[in-house]
Amino acid sequence: MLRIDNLSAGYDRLEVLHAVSFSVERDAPTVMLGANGAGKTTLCRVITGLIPARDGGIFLDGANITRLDPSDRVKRGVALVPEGRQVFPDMTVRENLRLGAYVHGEPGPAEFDAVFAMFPILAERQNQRAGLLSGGEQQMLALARALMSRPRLLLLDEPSQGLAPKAVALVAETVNRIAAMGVAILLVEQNLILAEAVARHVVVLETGTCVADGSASEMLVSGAVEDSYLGKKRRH
Amino acid sequence: MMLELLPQQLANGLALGSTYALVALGLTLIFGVLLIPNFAHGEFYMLGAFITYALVASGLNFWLAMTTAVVLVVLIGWIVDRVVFQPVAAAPGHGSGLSLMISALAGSIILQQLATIIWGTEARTIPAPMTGMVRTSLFTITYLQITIIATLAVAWTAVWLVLHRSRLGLAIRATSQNRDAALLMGIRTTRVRLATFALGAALGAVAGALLGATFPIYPSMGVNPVLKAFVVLVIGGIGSLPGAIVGGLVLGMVEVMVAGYGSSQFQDIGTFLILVAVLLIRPQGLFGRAQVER
Repeated sequence: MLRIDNLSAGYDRLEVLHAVSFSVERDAPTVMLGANGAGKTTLCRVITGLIPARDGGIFLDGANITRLDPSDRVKRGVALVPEGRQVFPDMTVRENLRLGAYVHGEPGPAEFDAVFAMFPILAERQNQRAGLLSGGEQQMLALARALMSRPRLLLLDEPSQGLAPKAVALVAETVNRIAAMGVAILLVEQNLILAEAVARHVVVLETGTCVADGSASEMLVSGAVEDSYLGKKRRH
Repeated sequence: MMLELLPQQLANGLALGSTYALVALGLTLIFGVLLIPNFAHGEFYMLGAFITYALVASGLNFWLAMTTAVVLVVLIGWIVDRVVFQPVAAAPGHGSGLSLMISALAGSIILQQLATIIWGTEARTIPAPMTGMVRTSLFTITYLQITIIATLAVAWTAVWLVLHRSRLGLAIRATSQNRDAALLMGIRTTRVRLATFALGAALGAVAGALLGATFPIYPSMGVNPVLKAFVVLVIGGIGSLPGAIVGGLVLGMVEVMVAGYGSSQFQDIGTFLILVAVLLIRPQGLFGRAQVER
């Protein structure tokens, strides 16, 4: 579905990702683990086209999208729920959702109904300014907004950040529902509780390099991942 | 004390404030969406006046001349963006506010010099497109002043409709609130950029043409209004369109009142007293929102 092939990228003179390779399949939601500064957010930005790749390639269902601009990638079904949610704070919930569907024109009532069925809280708040929502509600809005673009591949950059455990559980449940709809998932996380709830496939990124890649059952159960790569103990 | 003059001063202040608001509206749009402190905005205003002047001098009707000037200034605005701002924004380590500001000043000076080469430095006047005035028992107001106030109302309505009732406007607002998120929605920022610059330049040109029919015009005429427009931005709240309107009107009123009841030498002191007061009491500006992180 998504194949990352020897991808390098960075900012100015600083190279953050060094020849990263891995792939994401539709039936195996993938979690990328890595400590702060490992290059997880940079990876999300390169895949969506916010920063250019220096070397290597990004392939979506075999098509090379490495040089496409962000708008064309969205049209092909790449959506990102960015770090810190990044909703449009001075716009209403409904306007945020309209923007999610921007590349497809004005969304119809059926499209709104579909996301409101999945996120009832957003239906209640649809005419409120997004900036007034709680952190958990904003995360739901960011997810709903990404869904409005009819993604085939959904990237999520640390959606658990700043959320209460209950809200994290809701995010996990939602991501699993989206995966069940046939959307390929790449979740970038430090939170092992969320990672475990979602992952079938795990990739570990350390200082811009892929250092481990395997099925969730072999990588997460051993507990080796957090000891060696995240530098912290599992929290229960 | 001279209270009978108050209605007249209010009318004058409203007219002057409307031109400030027109200039500030274009400036705040470009700053709010593209984060460019566009000092060259004063030159859009100046060129609006001079092109209108040149066309009227060659026999064209004022309103046709103004419309043509608006189109030409939009074109010039597009060139300025391509030549002055886009290369800076695209450069590595790009688009720091300082380099954009210096580029804007350079653009401003180049346009002024160009106008000086073409038209010289002597002040000129555009023949007024209309004469006559409305007299009431309290005040008189010229048709031209009424036109300026009405133009502000029409311009504000037009900009509001574009921003809130069109898909382009939705994209412009999204870009101004969060540029990266707008890119992630698939919004092409080049289009947003073009539209924003065009709207801003058009507003500047209209203000220039109308003011040029009231006051003398000269190549450096844009310098002062653009500085005032920045003050208006801070008073009204940076990036806020209602803020630009109210800030502009407040500034016009204050200047006229200070000149009328005090002395015109103190006019700028009044301006900056208001500025300092706003900064002390409501630093985000009258219509600005304090930034809250969640």
